[in-house]
Amino acid sequence: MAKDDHIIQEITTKEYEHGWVANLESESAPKGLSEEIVRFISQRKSEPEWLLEWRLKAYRHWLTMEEPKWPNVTYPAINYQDIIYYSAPKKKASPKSLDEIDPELLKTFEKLGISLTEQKRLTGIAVDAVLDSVSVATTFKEKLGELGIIFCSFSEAVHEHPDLVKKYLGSVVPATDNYFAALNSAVFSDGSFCYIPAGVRCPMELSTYFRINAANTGQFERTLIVAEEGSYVSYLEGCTAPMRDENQLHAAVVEIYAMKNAEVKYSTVQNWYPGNKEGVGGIYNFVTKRGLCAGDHSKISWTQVETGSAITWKYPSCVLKGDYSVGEFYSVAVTNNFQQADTGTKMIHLGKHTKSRIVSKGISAGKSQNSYRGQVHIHKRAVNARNFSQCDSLLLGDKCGAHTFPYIDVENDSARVEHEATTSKIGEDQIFYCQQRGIDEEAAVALIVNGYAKEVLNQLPMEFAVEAQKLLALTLEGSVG
Amino acid sequence: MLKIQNLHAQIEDKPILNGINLTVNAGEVHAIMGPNGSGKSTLAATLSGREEYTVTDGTVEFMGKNLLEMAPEERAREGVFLAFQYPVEIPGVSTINFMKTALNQIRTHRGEAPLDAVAFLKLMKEKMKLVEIDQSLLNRSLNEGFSGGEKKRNEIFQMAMLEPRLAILDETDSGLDIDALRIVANGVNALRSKNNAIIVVTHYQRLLDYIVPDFVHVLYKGRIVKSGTKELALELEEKGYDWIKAGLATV
Amino acid sequence: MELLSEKGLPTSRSEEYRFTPVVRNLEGIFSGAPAPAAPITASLDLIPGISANLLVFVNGRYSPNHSKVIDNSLTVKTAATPAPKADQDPFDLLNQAFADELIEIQVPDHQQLVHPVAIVYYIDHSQFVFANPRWSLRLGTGSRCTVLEYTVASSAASFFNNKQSTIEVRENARLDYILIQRGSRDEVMVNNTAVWLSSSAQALCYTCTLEGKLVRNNLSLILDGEGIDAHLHGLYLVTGQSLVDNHSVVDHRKPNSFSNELYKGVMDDNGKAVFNGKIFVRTDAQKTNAFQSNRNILLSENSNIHTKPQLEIWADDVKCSHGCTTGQLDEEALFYLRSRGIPKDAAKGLLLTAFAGETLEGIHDEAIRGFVESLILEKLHTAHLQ
Repeated sequence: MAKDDHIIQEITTKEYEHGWVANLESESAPKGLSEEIVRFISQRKSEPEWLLEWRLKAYRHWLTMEEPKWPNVTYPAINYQDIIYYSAPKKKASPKSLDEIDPELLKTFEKLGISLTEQKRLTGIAVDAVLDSVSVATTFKEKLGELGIIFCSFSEAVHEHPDLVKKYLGSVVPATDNYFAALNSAVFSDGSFCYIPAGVRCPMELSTYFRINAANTGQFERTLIVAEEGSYVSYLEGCTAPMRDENQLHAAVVEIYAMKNAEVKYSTVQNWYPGNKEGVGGIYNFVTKRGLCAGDHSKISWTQVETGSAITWKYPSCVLKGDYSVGEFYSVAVTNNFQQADTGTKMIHLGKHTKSRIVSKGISAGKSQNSYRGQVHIHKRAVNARNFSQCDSLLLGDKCGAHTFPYIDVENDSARVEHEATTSKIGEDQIFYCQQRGIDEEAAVALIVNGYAKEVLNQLPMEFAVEAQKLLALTLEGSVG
Repeated sequence: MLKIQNLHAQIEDKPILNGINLTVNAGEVHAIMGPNGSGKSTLAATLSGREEYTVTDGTVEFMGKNLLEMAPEERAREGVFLAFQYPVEIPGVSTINFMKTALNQIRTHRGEAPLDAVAFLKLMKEKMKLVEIDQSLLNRSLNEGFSGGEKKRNEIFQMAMLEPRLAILDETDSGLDIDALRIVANGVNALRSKNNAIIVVTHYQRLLDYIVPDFVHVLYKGRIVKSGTKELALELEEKGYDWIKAGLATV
Repeated sequence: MELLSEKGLPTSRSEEYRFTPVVRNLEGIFSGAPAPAAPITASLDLIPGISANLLVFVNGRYSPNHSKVIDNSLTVKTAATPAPKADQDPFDLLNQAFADELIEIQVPDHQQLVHPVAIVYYIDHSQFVFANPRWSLRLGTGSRCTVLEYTVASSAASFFNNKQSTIEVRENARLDYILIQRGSRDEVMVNNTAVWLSSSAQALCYTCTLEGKLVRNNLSLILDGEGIDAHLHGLYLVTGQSLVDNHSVVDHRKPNSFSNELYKGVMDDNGKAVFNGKIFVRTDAQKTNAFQSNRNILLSENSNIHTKPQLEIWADDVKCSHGCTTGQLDEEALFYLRSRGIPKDAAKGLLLTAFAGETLEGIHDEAIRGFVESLILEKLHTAHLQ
């Protein structure tokens, strides 16, 4: 097995390719968290009084809460006073057009492979780019505007569409929902806002790219998507961060509100810096994502490919309130080196004839720990609810762990709930078969893993799927036989 | 092309091959026959580089190179092809995608440019006819849910695609009905040329009616105990393996 | 008791007792002191026609007078309870606070017991009883033993039986452990059983829960050897206001062992069930095969099931799976039977019997299997599940 050890070592030498720091001047709040900081952020963003109050309420509640201890992850205590809660690229005034954006900043996003220059975008994806905590540019705004679609930074929405923000902010994830959501509610600095009017099918993918750049900075963005009756939108989220020795905190909140017959597809390719091969540095990714299928026949579908972060703590959930509403969760989570992931979903069935489907594929390598944690809760009045869950784990190497914690609570006798889970190592026979056809071990592992994850990757929009496949291959480079 | 000298191999601590000597030249077809447990499949596995089998003595030279020190994929790239007795299933990986990856790795090894999608599909369509395989089958996950016959045809299809110098067919006839056997054999015969060689490993003479060998070797207790021409296979068929065992016992 | 008061008894806030409010069920009826033994009039034999080595606990206390050992090789001794440790389950500590003796049962090496060992809890029903029986069983190398465990009480009896036991199965030994819970409708039962298995041991643990107000079973199998073959089967038929909670642990600590867990439940009326099955595969336990399946049928509007199958795996060369379903009787099958002229109720009964019957596979002794089957049928009848 010496060969395996050698290969496992090889994986750990893989470098994180987005680990550069952009040379941007930024303006930051002082370190630490207090009511003053919350006020500072709110004032800096010229927010209305109600929003400040909302933040302060969240902050005061956060003070009474305890950090959750139940996830299957370990990390040193976070010093919440040692974090900068607000950092913005320095600029004169809000850019009126892309021409006014700091060229250094444009370069930052070009480096990430995200062009903010509209004419260069042929793929027809509207992008909202968030650097550190602030949205820096949103593309295709006018074109979307013609359809009545609002896609802009959160700050902008607060000023331009205060009624919508006030109505839906916290309607799915209340400010006091959990420790990290409360923290986010107090200090969130920006994010994306998206509103699809009734009957409109959004003609292009909407996309947000998040990047943490400044040191010692937490990123606390907030995304709010409202899909009116009969509308449809596909939303993409991507993220990267520079390599730093210290851990950085990312505590985001995503809320989706879907009315009658509306459909929202939310896809994430998460590639935050996972820390180095000794487990130093990396992002703590503590995220609350929840969608509410408020109306009948609504549908919310989460797809995630999780390859980054030192620690991932994330359960994109669906509250199926409307009758005949549908929730889906497709996930591939890869952990390597010292990464820890505790991720899964919650499907809360409240309405009649609600359906949910969970497909989770965990892949652990190196010395990582990968946990699926999910809940399927069929409430008493959820007549004829259906759920199917498939949770598979693949182990590469003998120093990693795979854990499955499904909670299934059924309170209605007409429900049908099925859960299946398997854990196995990558098939030596399969690798040998590939090798016998001339494919080397590394390529064979990538091929097999991609095949294993295919059901999930198929859910991603084309361009994202290709990126995700490459990312999987890269993360597991040189994996074991 | 292939020169096996005094090959000894074992699995765990159990010796299976006890001194095999065999020379195969380009253009030849050799049949390896023998009763169950005689070491036929071990020989095929050892030549293709399965890790569970340890070579304890002897040498194998292929095209003038030491085959035994090559990784399985290097052997494949040098032109050794094993048609598996039990082809594995790989969920989510289509045969087309799989073959494209394999072929282009081999081409790169040979110093040829990788084939683009169009050229690849053209080649594939051509080779599909050989084994009467349908494209819908190749679009599916590799071997997943394939019938026994479909799996074996897929093996020969892959052989056709990769154009190996030396093909080893490990019990390719097992589990095939007569029609499937004929299709597989036709495919193999179409691939015979003066530049390549084939080793057919089989328990029964049946396959050799269709793939006519130049030489027949009988393997028993890890050694080649008898060699001859195709008539030897017929004699074996008639007299059974006990004839060989009896013959050895009297020596 | 000090350790216990430090730790406290679990409430619904603790993860392991999330749905099972044992403490709430005890409030007001908790008298603490063991009730005095009374003369026994009821029959203590479980299975007609099968004689067994009878080990009788009267109101939680071992009673040599009522017990009867018929296999000479079987030894039963009374020992002091061991010193409590902080990592014990709270109910184990509670038991230790009240139980002043540990009953040590031993099957010597290479002995195959002719008769089963029946461990009987006899409950005097004249007043509320808080029973704390405690025993240990050791199966020596290459030995073989069948254990039947059950409660005898009148249907009016109200009691809390807080039982603690450990079973050690040495190399090549075979254990058949059959636990039948049908004491009384007002029974509160907490049942801690830890089974330690050595190399090449074989075990079948069958837990059949038919009655009880609140039943909590903590069954742990520790596979501390290679080549072990372990089967855990369970059936819970939960009716009335009952709550049945099965928590199981299968802990693979060494390579090359096999475990298979199958728990099935039928819930009717206001019946509520909890299943939590943990499988651990430790770093050293390569080549482990571990399977788990939990199937549930809900028959009534107010029945509930909370299930949490949990896999925790630290070794890579393993095959593990769990499956879990909750649903109703198969409508197709029901229709098929009815279309052959079988009335709906009978058809339902047939399907439920078949559903429950699968758990009986693995009980080697035909007489015992047949008897358990008859208990299940009886329950299906009397509970109007048909």
